[in-house]
Amino acid sequence: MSKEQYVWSIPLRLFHLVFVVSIVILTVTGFYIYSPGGGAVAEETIGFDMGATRSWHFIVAGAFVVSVLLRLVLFVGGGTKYEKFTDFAPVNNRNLKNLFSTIAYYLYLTDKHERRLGHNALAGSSYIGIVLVSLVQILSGFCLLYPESGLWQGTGLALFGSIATVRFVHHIFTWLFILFAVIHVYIAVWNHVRTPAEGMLLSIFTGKKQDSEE
Amino acid sequence: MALTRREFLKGISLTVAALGLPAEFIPRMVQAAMAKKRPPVIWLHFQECTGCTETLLRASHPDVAKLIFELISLDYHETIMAAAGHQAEKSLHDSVQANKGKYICVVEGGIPTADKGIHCKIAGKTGVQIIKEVANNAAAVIAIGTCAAFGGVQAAKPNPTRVKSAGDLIKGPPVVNIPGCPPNPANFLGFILHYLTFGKLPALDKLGRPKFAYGRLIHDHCERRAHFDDGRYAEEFGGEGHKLGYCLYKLGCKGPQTYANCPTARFNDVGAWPVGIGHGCAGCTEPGFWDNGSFYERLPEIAGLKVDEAGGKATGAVAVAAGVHAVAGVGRKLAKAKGGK
Repeated sequence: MSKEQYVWSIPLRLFHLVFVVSIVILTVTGFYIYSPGGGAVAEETIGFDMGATRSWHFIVAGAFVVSVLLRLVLFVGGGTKYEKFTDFAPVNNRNLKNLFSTIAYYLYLTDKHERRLGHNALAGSSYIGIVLVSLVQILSGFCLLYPESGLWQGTGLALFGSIATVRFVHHIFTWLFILFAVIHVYIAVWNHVRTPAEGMLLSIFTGKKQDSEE
Repeated sequence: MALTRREFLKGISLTVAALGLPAEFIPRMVQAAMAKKRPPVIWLHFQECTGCTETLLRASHPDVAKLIFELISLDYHETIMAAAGHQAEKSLHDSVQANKGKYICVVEGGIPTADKGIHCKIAGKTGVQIIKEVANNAAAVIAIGTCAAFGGVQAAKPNPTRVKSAGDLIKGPPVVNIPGCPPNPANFLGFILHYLTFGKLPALDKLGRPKFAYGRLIHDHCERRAHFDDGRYAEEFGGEGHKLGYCLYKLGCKGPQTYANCPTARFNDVGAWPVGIGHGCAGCTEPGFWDNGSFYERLPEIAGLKVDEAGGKATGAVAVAAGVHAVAGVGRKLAKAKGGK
């Protein structure tokens, strides 16, 4: 018998949606800004390709910042108990044990695995990691957006040493999002295939999981 | 070679403009330049190419250089002083003794610190010693050029002589960085006139550079910026876009990450500057500019790979790993099903 359980709050699902969509747009526009392809835009046309792309990059970045701040709040509280970082961060014995058992389970070393409605400790750690990567991306992004503000220039120099490094970090961290997305989607699908009754893939839209006994 | 009044006023007006001050300051600066006792200046050379001095001396019109030498009393400068040997060292010693705490010390070049500083010695003394004796007793120090300001090419990886910037070594007087390879003489003159007129240092940014010259990004004041925003780029040197004067972004221009007044102050009194003549900015006013990757690439490489090649390879490797993992899972399931029968 399976029982429907409410796992992901509306703010969390909203965070996920905005986070995903904004990362896709930011990555695409970001790569264009780094290396504008497609040949030279003809003179005396509407043009403004780079200007417009940059504007969209900055506007969507605003949504990205809001989504990351929302997730940070949910780490502490405000959503369901499964969204708090104490539920999945490897900071207590329960989660540490789960971290190693999940690694073993993922490596096919065991079929036993602790059923959890929320994140397992491995996934949870990777989510904390991607939020930290997001924070670096946000800080470096603001340094590049406001190069003549003493505050942001100072922040960039203090954190990264030079504005050239800020640019470099902002670019290579984009690849961390791409790597994360590949792994995250693969593991989610893999889990769904292994325990389809749980309804994992749907849960990020409906907020509900099936607490099945298997 | 006396300076005519016309040249004098021209130079002052130019500097007032470079400092971003309103025209009312021209008479004030003229007064300051004429009234004050010329401040003694001691100019030290360390590991450098003397390009900073050359750029000052070889302006096409002599206004700027002449004005500078009218404004200051240059007591010691190895490149241009007439004295040599013991005489030269004596004038240095005398000036330091007579003007302790009152002179301006200009440092040109980075200071090597490896092996007790023996890689740069003048009159038997290491650069580190000279800094202690001369620069530390100044009223203010100007680190002219990127080598003095940030170490420059000498400090580029692997920095074999462990070169440090003037700011790293000097203790006591404030250090003002006027970086560039070479820096614009207008910025040096601007600093001197500012100091004479207001009796204090100009506003500095977080890297100790005067804001009047290094407060703004090259990219935001570039004459090719419209081409950047419109998506028109020179794809290769000598190519169509290059001939049409399009933005040099894709040829590795470092204008978007470099702070300097090159697009407005320009060089050699003929309105020339690198981007204007078709070469991207090399980022020479920024710390570590030699180590920030090729002048012709936007970003440095990682382990010999371009950033996106490295990123693409990493993503490919992860995708392959996921594929192997999935196949292993399916294989395991099949094997189990078979074993179960």
